[in-house]
Amino acid sequence: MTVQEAAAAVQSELSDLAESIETRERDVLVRCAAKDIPQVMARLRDGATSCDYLTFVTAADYPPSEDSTGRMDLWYHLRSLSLRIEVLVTASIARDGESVRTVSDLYPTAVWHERECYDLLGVVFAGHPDLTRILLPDDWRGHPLRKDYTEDMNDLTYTTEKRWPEMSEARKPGG
Amino acid sequence: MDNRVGPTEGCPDAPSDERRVVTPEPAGAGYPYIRTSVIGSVPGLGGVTDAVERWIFNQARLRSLWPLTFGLACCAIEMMATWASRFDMDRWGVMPRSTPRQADVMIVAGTLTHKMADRLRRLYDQMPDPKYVISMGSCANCGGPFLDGYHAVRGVDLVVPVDVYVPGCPPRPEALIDGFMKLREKIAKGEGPASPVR
Repeated sequence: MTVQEAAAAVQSELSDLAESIETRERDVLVRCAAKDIPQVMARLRDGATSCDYLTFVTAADYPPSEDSTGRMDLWYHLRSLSLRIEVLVTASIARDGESVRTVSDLYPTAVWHERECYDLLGVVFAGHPDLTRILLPDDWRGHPLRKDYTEDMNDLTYTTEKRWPEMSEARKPGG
Repeated sequence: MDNRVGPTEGCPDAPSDERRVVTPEPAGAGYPYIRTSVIGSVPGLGGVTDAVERWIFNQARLRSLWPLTFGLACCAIEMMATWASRFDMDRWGVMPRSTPRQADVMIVAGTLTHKMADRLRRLYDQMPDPKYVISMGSCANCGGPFLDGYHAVRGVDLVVPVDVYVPGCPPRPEALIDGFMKLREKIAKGEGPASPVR
């Protein structure tokens, strides 16, 4: 299926939900509201586009600036293995206080992807079965890929110095 | 205490535990790991000194350094190449082990993250004494290119005591082999491991 045919199929599926559908060089980019994410994903999976493979879930942090209050962009990379097309779904939420519904009931692979997204960027996925840290230690503070993350939130030697103080002591000059 | 000696039960000619001569270690005599004289307790070999015995044990030890492969990143590729046919580290009796309970030396090859640090320490604690650690590559030595990152431990010597640091990013197999040669020299000289003896 070509990109143009894929865009037409996406258009037919999401004519009432998508804010914009953009045909790009190799994929189709769909913008929608964050509250519609589960519905959009379900239609793309079960409809004519047949996107049976969720490649990636991530987010991008846009901090507040002079002319905006900042936002968090969610990105879902979908692929159809049978039709050989790629569809990107994106939506914006507020940086703090707003959550998005999980898609882990549609795509089980989203469980780990959303955990990573929560771990590094602090995005809360409502309805997630186990929204805990996945890459960082459990006692980590803050979400390091947010633009407002500073080292003060988590001293880098915090973990090792606390757990094995004799090792840090031995490394000091004269130790 | 030293399970390398082997079991003596059911073996009538073997020296009993009472016959093993426990000698106090003279100050400055080097690594005090073997406190029980085994050879000296064999009839007819009473004149063999502790120093000779320690020398024999160390020579045996440095010829069969079995490393626990702790491949964490791209350094692990170079580490694997060091065992492959072109460099063939088996020539020095360096055999990779995949369990800490059979390992003498741990090669930390790659970036150690804060979450992995707990696992590294746990595997290190499971290794039998005497145990050595080779820190391979810039990441393991000091954090390397991730020195300013949020996730990397700035040197594995913040977690486990390190005997040999191998520089490079990643080090070539020759550099890792040189690290093993340095470790062999250290053992041959009778120096103890960086790990505290328990």
